[in-house]
Amino acid sequence: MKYILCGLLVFLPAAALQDSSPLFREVSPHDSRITWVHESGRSPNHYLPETAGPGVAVFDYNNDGRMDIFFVNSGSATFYKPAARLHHGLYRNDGAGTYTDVTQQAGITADMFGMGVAIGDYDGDGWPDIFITGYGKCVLYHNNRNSTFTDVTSGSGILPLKWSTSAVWFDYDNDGKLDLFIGQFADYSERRICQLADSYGGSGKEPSKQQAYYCSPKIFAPLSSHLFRNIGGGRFQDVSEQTGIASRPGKAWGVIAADVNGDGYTDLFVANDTMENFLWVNRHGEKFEEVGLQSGTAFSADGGMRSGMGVDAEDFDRDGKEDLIVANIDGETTSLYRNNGNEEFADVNIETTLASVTRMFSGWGLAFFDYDNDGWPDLVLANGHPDDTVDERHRGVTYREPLFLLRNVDGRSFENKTELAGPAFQKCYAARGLAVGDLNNDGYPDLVFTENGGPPHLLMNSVGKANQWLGLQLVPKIANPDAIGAVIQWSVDGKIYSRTKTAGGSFLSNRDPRELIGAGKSALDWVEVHWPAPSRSVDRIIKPKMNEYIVIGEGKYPISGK
Amino acid sequence: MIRFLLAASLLVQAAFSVEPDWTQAKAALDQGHFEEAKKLILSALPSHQNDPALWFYLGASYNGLNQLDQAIDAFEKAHKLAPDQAQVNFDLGLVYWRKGNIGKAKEAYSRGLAQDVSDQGALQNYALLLMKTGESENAIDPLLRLKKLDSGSLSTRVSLIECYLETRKRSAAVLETNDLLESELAGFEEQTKLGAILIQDGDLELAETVLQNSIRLNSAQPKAYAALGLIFLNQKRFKDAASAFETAVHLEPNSAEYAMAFANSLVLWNRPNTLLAFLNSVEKQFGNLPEFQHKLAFAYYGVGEFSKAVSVLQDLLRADPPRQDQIYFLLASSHFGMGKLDESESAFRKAIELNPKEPLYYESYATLLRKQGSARIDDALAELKQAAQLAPQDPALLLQIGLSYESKGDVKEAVSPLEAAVRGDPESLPARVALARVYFKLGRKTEGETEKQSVAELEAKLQKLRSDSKDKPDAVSQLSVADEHH
Repeated sequence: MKYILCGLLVFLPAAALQDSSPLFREVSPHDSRITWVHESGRSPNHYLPETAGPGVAVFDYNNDGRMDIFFVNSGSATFYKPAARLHHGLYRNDGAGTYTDVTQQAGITADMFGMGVAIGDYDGDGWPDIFITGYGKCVLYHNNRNSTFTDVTSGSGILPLKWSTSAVWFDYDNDGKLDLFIGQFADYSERRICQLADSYGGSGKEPSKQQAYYCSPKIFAPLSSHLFRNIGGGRFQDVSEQTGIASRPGKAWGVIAADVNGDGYTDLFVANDTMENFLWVNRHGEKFEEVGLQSGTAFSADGGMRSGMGVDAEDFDRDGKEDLIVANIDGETTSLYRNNGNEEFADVNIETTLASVTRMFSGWGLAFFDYDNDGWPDLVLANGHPDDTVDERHRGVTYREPLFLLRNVDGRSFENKTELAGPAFQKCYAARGLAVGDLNNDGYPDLVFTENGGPPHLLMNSVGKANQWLGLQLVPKIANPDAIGAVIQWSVDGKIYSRTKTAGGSFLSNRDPRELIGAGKSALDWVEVHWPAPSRSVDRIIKPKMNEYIVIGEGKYPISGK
Repeated sequence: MIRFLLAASLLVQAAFSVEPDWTQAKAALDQGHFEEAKKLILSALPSHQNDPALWFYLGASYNGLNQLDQAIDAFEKAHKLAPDQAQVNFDLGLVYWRKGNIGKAKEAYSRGLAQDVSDQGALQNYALLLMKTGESENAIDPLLRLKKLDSGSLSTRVSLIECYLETRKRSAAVLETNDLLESELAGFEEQTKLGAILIQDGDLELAETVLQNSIRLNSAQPKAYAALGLIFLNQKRFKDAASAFETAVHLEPNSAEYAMAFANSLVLWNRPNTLLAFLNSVEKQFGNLPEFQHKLAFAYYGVGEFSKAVSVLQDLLRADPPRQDQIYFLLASSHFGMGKLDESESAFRKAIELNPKEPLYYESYATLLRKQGSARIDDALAELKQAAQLAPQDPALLLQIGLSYESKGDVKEAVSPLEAAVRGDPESLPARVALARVYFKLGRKTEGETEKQSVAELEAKLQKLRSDSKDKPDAVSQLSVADEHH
C-alpha cells in the first residue's frame, strides 16, 4: 500500500483518474510565488534538532480579511552556522492566489534555529502577534498594526528555553488575557553524537563514523514545559511551578488547548516523544492536574509508551464532547481518543480504521477539518520519518511518506480518500508542520504543509461547492482576544451541534483562526456563540446567511435573558 | 585379559597345580577365542571341580560369549572357592551390571573394594555404576580414592565435579573446578567438554567459568562459543548470546547449526534488521533449510515487511516442515500486522489446533480479538481462559486478561488479574499502567496514585538505563544501525 501511494498511481491509465476530479489541487511555487524553502541545517554530525522543523501558521497579519502564511526557518545555533543568513517566511496573501514575501519589511528578522509558531493577540489590540519557538531561543513579535512587527521578547518575561517546540496561546485562568504555554522537548544540551558501528552487510572495513545517524530521542532526559501567565502590559510571569506544569518533565512535540471536560476551563493535551502523553486538566484556573494515565490518553491501550508528535482536538463523533488525536511514529499507529466523559477516553483507532491506515507511517502535522462541509470533521495527516537514513535499513519504512486524507463517515469510521485527493497526495514528502486555512475565502478549507529541508506546499480545496457552510470570525470584548474556549452551537434540521474553539494543535503550527461550519445541503437554523469566561455571554443569530463569513462581535447579537 | 591372567596366576598359586588344559584355555582366552576356551575348561572341570581358577576362567569365557547367566554361575563358584579374591568380585560385579542386576553388582564391587582398596579399574567402574544409578553421593568416595591414586585422571576429576553438583555440594564443585583449571590438567578441548557437561548438569554459571577459561587458552573454538551462547540464551542474556554465536559463525562459517543458532539469538534479542542482513549474507549456503526460511520470515516480520513474511511462510508451509504451529503463529502475526484480521484469525486458530498447549497462541489470538472491539471481547476472554489453564501464573497472560475485562467495561473483574500480573512481574510497565487505570476508574484514587507513582519510578529507571547505555558499544559487532535505535 505504501509504495502504491508514493508514485505507482501515476502509472495507472489516465482513464482511471478521469472519473473524479482531485479533491485538492496543488499550487506551484511559480503560481503562488512562494519561493521560500526550509533549511534543516542537516550536517554530517546529524544533530537531532535538524529533524524537527518547521512549523507554519495561517493567519491574517494585516487584518485585510485574507489569510496570510508564515513559515518558520532554522538559523544560527550552538551547533549550526548557516553559510548565508536564513530567514523565516511571512507571505502576504494578495488575493489572487499569489503571495508576496514581506518578511523583511515586516521586521521578522530573528536569527534562530526555529521550530514552531503560535499566533495570538496577546495584548488584545485586535492584531495577531507571533511567537516563534526554537532551539535555545524563542521570540515574541508584537504586531505594530502597520504590517510590521517588533521583537519584544527581552522585556516580556518569557524566558529562553533549551528546546522549545509547540506553543499555544490560551486563557488558562479566564481573566480575559491570553497566556502562553511553551512545550519543551528533550535535554539535548550535551549535543550528543551517537557512536554507531557500520551497518551489518555494509563494507564493515571503514572506520566507524562518529555520527552517522540521528540518535533516538529515548536516550535524552525529558524537560519541563512552561506556562507563562499574561499579566498585562506585554509582560508574562512564569507560573509553571505554581500551576503544576513543571511537575512532569516531558518531551513535548504537539500541544492542543481544548476544554476536554466541558467545565469552562481550557485544558492542555501534550504529545510526548518516547514517553507517555500528558493530559493537563485545568482545575479552576489555578492548577493543572496531569491525568494522562487515568484518562487513557497517555499510553497505548496495552500500556506501552509511544512517540507522540502531532495532535488535535475535535468532537469527531458529534456527541458533544471533545475528542483527541495524536500521531505516532511508524509501527505505533495514530490514536484517536474518543471522549467518554468523566475525563476518560478510549482509543478507537482500530474501529475507525485509523490504525490500519497509519500503521507504517510517522505522523506530524495533522488536523480535523470538514473538507467537504458535510458537517462531519474529516482528517488530514502529514507524514515523514524523522531519520533520513531509514531507507537503507530494509524496514519497509521510508523517509518520505505520503499525506492521508480521511473522510469521516458519520462519526463511526474514517474512509481513506487519499487516492482521490489529487496528485499531491500521490507523492511522498518529509512533511512536518501543517495548517488548515481558507486561503481563498470560499468556505472550503485549504491546506498548507511544510517539509523538513524542503519547500512548503499549498493545496487548494477543489471538492466543489455542493454543500453549504457558514464562516465565523469571533471578535471578543471581555473574553480573551482569540475567543479560545468559546462554545459554538448551531442547529441544522432541528439537530443541535456544538464545537469548542481550541488553540494550537497539529505540529509546531497554527491554523486559520476563523471557524467554518459545514451544514451539508441544509442551512443553519441558528448559531450561538457562548463566550468563555470572564464573559460568559451568549450571542445568537437566527437563520444566518449561508456561504459567507460573518463577524460575530461579543455582545452584538445577545440572547435576551442570557 | 591381563587382569584375568594375573588373577588366574594368583589363584593358581593359592590353589592347585595347572594342567596342560588350562594353558591352552588361557591361550585361547588371550586370543579372544572364548568358545574354544570354554570347551577346554569344561573338559578339564570334571577332574578339577574345586579349582577356583578354572571356574574363574570359565566365567571369563562365558562373559566373552555374552552368556551372562552362565558367567555369573561360574564366577559365583570361583568366589565360593576363593572368597578373598577381589578380582573375582570385580568381575562378578561387572557381569551382574551387564545382566542388569544392579544390587548384586554393587555388592560385588563393594566386597572387592574392601579387599583391594586401590584397584583403579574397579573404583572407576564402581563409581560409574553408582553415578548411573543415581547414587552420586556414594560415588564421591570411590572417586576421591581414585583421585588420590591418580590425580592426573581428568575423567575422575570431571566425574567428581558432576557428583558434587548432583548432590548440591556446589562449593565443593566450584573448588574442584577451579582446582582443575589451575592444575592445567585439562587442555582447552577438555575444558570445553567439561563446560558442555556442566551445561547438561545445569550449573550454567560454572559452565560459563570453564568455557571462558577454555576460550582464554584458545579463542578459535566455535564449540566453546556456541556452548556459551546456549548458556546466555538460557539466562535470557540475548545480547551476549548473539555475540557468542556470532563468533562461532565467524570461526566456522559453514556450520548450519551455528548460523541458525545465531539467527535464533537475534530473534530472541529482537534485532530484526541485523537478522535480515545476516540471513541475506548466508542465503546461498543455508537458504534451502526450513529453519532458515522460518528465521527469514521472523526477520521480515520484525522489520515490518509483513507481506514478505507471509510469502515466505506460505512457501514454507507448502514444504510441510516440522512445527507448523510456530509457522502458523508467525503467519497470523504477520497478517495482523497488515491489518488482515480474518486471515490472521484463521492462522491463529490453525496454530492452536496444531498445538493446543501453547499459551502464547491463545494470548496473541485474544489480543487480536480484543483489538477488534467490543463485539469480540467475550471471544478474547474465552481464549485467554484456555491459556490460563496452561499457564495460570504467566504475568503477560494475566495482563491480557485484565486488559480484556477493562475493554469490556467490566473494570472490577480486571483488578484481580492485573494485580496478579504486577505481582508476577513488578517491572512490567504495561501491567502497572493498566492497574493504575482501573483503580482510577473504580474510584480507588489512593491506590491509583500509588500505582501511578510506581509507573513514574519505572519510567525514570528506564530513562536512566537508556541514557546510560548510549555510549556502550553493542556486543554484536555488526549490529544493524536500525536495531541500534530499537
